[in-house]
Amino acid sequence: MSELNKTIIHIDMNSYFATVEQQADPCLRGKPVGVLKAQGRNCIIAVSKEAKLYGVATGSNTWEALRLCPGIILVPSDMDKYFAVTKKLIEIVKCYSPLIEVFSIDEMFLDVTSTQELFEGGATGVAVAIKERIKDEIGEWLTCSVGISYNKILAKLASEQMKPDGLFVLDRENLDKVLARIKPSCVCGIGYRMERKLQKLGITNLLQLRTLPYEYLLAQFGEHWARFLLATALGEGTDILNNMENIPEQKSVSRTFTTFRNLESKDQVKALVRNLSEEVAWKLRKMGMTGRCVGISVRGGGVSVFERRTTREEVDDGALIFDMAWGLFEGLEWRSSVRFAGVWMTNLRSSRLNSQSLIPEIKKKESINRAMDQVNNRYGYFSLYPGRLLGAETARPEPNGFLGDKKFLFG
Amino acid sequence: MAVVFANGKVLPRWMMWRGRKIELGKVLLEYQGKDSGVPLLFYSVQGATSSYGVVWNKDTNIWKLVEVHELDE
Repeated sequence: MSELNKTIIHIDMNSYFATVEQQADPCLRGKPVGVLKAQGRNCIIAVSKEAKLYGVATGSNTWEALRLCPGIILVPSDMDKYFAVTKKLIEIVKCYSPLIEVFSIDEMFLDVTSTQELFEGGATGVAVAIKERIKDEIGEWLTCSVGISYNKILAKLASEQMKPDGLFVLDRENLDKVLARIKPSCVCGIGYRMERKLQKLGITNLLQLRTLPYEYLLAQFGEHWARFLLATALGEGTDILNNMENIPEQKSVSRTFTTFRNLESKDQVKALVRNLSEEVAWKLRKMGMTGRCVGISVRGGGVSVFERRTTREEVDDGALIFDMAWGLFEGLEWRSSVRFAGVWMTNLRSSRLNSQSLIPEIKKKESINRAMDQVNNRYGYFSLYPGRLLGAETARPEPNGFLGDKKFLFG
Repeated sequence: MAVVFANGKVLPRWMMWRGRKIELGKVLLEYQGKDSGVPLLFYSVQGATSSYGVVWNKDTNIWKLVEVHELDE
């Protein structure tokens, strides 16, 4: 935390994916809408405010949603569309401060400490202007809740106070009053299990946390959480943004995929792992990076496991990543069907630091990858792909809601 | 497709579809995307009885109608 009293604005788009769909298609406006991960999938990843009134929540199953709201309209998601709209949001927000943190596809922070005086109405004026410009320049159906405070955690809690389309200022004067009505689980990082534990200790809101001595919290939750809980209860937290212009180097690159149906045959799983490995390799090469640690995670039949392996060689080749990932999968002696798989690389570094190989086979592989990347960058990913994937269903790259790969998307 | 160029934007105004001239009104949503590396502009535009999804391929200057949604009465 800095010594300056900062002014941080948190912008949270309301029911984002669903409202973008309602903006694009007026027939959906004012109606309960659920956005599915994809056509044929059962998980609802976003719901409109009209659907929320029926009790349908993000993460519901389609059957659950249809039971609560038989008239709900289910539409498949279009992550490229949402990300394109997010980029327009960023362009608007950038007009008010150079210090922006894109927290996720529908949330961003901006630090207006030194720019608020340039705008009429200060930070509140900036918030109102952003809300108006979103409606004018992107679409009138899009609304956002805005929170203003002096650090990130409080700004985020402030935006939660008035939904949808709200604006709330959380300052030192109303801090205690507001914290007394916020449940611990509203804080990003505090999950269901920790809340249950806190409830057993008689803690049902953030203000009550102050009554517990640090030593007691330490014994219950360990040092990290004890410090975090107490700081949050006192209204302390970081006010330093992970700025867009200075996105930290990516520590890992991954691609996960939940399949449409259980994959029963080994060939299907093999094709999926190869597909994911190719995407990871492509992302690495696009960022000019290589990695040494390959990991695989697999779920299915109620079992969830992950395994990883570190090599001495720096890797950015899809076939090599696949060989290592598949070796790890074979080592798992997996017996049931597969519903989810993920491949990731860690121990990353810039490929410029690697010495050029003189081995002809490796040089050949590198030039093939280069040629493949050039074709795919021009004509779209998977225009050229390994023969092993011929005929297999392919998972194409798309941004996820958490924007976990910011360096790749914005870097 | 007939468009106007105004304020640095390309705004669809009317289009011929199945031999009919369809007047286009308000642009409901506009965003940029790519398909196979080709830059595209996606528009959701309101007509009198329907809303339309149209895509402009900037490379070929070809417009494509991709969605039609009948508006409720």
